[in-house]
Amino acid sequence: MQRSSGLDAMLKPESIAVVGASRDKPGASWVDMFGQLVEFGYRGRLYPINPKADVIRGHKAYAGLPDLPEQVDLVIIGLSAPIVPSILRDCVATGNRNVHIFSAGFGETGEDEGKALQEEITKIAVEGGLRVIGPNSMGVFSPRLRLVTWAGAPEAIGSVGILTQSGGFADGILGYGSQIGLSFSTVVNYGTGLTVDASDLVEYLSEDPETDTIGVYLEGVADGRRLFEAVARTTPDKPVVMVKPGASRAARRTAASHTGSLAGDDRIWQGFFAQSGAIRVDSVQDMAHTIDALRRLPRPVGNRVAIIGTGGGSSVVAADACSRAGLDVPPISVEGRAELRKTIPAAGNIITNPVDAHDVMTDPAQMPPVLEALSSQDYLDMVVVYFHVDWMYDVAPDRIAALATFLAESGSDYMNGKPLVATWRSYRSGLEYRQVIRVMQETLIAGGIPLFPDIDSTARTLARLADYSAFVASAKAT
Amino acid sequence: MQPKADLPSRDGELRSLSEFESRNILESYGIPVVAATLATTRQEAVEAAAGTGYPVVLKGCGADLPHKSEAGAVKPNLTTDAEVAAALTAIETAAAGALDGILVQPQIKGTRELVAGMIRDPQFGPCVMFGLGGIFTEVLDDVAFRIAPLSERDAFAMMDSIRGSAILGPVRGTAPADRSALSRTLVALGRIGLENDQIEAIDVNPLLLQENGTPIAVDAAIWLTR
Repeated sequence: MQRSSGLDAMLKPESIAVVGASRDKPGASWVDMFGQLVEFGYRGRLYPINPKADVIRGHKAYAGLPDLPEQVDLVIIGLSAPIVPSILRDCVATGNRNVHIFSAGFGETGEDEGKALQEEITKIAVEGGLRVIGPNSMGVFSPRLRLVTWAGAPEAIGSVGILTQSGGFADGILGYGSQIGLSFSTVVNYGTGLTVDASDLVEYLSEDPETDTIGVYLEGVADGRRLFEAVARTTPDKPVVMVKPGASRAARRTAASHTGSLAGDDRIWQGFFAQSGAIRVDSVQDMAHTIDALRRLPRPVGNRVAIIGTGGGSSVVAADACSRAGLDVPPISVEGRAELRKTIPAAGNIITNPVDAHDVMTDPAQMPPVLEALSSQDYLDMVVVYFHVDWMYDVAPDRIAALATFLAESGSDYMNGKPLVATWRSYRSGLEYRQVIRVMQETLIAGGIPLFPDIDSTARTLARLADYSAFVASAKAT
Repeated sequence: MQPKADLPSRDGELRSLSEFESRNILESYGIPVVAATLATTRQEAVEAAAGTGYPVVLKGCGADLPHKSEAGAVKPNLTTDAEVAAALTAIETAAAGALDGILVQPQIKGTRELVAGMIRDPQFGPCVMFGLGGIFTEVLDDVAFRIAPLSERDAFAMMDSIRGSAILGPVRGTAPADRSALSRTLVALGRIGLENDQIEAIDVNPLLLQENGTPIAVDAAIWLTR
């Protein structure tokens, strides 16, 4: 039976028909959506539609939608564009209202034939009351339902929801996010978004109890005001992290031919972010790290950061990176220095901010009192531990894993409820360095300590965290 | 939507309101604008100038005259009856046929030029604009936008978001800008956009900051939706 709430049925379908299911052949190619669904192990009822087959991958095949034994929660169309209008008419006639059009070749081509087809399918969908994602979209990924129509999706079930106009972005955030420990509730690549667009999907994920953080890749939107209102209602409770390209003329032109989107004036989008509380990021990696930090860290009360690491030059560069990102790097007070001096020996260690302290970085026993001293300063809101991998390895190969293990297991205990993150640098090519870096990454990720690939992304992400924290505080106050 | 502003009714092709009509709409929304008298005869203009007190500015005023400076229809810093008479002749020549009347205003001494406005964006609807005004609008392009309606917090954040926001501080002995008054102006511009579908855009350039930091609109143009 079809469920009443449209988007819920569409994005958590208990039954799916694939129109244009490929006939049996070994291995699922990337365009074989039915094969991908079967191989990933979709938990619901599956109906392949192909008039030339009797059985596909063990499932009874049907000649067309009218032949199905039930109305399904989702119809996936993988046939070439000129055939799509007739399938949509079948959907209307059979009462199958939720549709994902994988096919491309519509308005986004910019050509007359594609535009005419787009007008035709829009008319059918609107008049027939169809909910349509796509055309030109990879559709829905739900690890809980083991639902996916493309290759290489991760198996882990999590609580990050993603909606994206770009299929490549969906694949990218799943891949990179998985590497840093993110897992997902629902990912929707809605492409052109015929009758279901970003605003509908934000509203859906905003209400979805299985989603705690929302990532958005958006090139443009027809009704910006509706999206603005949907996002602004969401951000006080659920962070919305968003890539909105189009600041440059070249990007705007490219967006127009990719999803047919009107990118809009970026100065107004800057207002959108400032007012709605959505967090703007610029890339797959930035989105993944920002979501990771938002989910794992307590909210900082300000933007003042302490950095502990080693190396004079890199400390200066780190201070600049933080300032550039909008963070404050305040000096350590006289009392604070005295407290740190109880642990950190004078020789070769400079107690300012950043703290340049060889001994602390190579002796995990020194780290607890140092974190305790830094996090108890009321003018410091966050602490960054900056691994100098090459040098630490040279002091003793096991130092990196030892520090990572301490941070992962008990670093947060010494933070007085303030965020603790780590970053690293290494410039050597030897395999032994790759090996200790891998151990460091796996240990910190498993221990819930956000780890950033460089000081710039650390600074950018912490600045966003501080901004969002201030936004939530003022939104709750008013 | 029923218009909230008292818009003059016009036929057909009109695209912009006169400065006098524009300033009256802004004033009705509580935006500080320079006092103005609309004179329809030379005699009225001379009397209004004397009544206003020198120095005064004379501006040719008419719908479809939004670029009146370029048209030679603005004569600033007039200090005598004779200068006013000469200015009237010059404006009548420059803007012949497009005049509803002559706007007589006191000459305002501003220390800093800002710009504010409203545009109707195709995706977001009414949006408010704020930034550096006068020649800096073109040279530095230092303006920010916010989606209407603006909260007071939005307006304050908007002022801080322009690169040249230090101009709102105490600069060279002038008082800091009256940010509350500026914020009320920005909020009001958004309201005008939300409440009047037939207004396409508003341009307040310059929005002057006076010596004491209070803002005042010395020019205003309103464009109508086609």
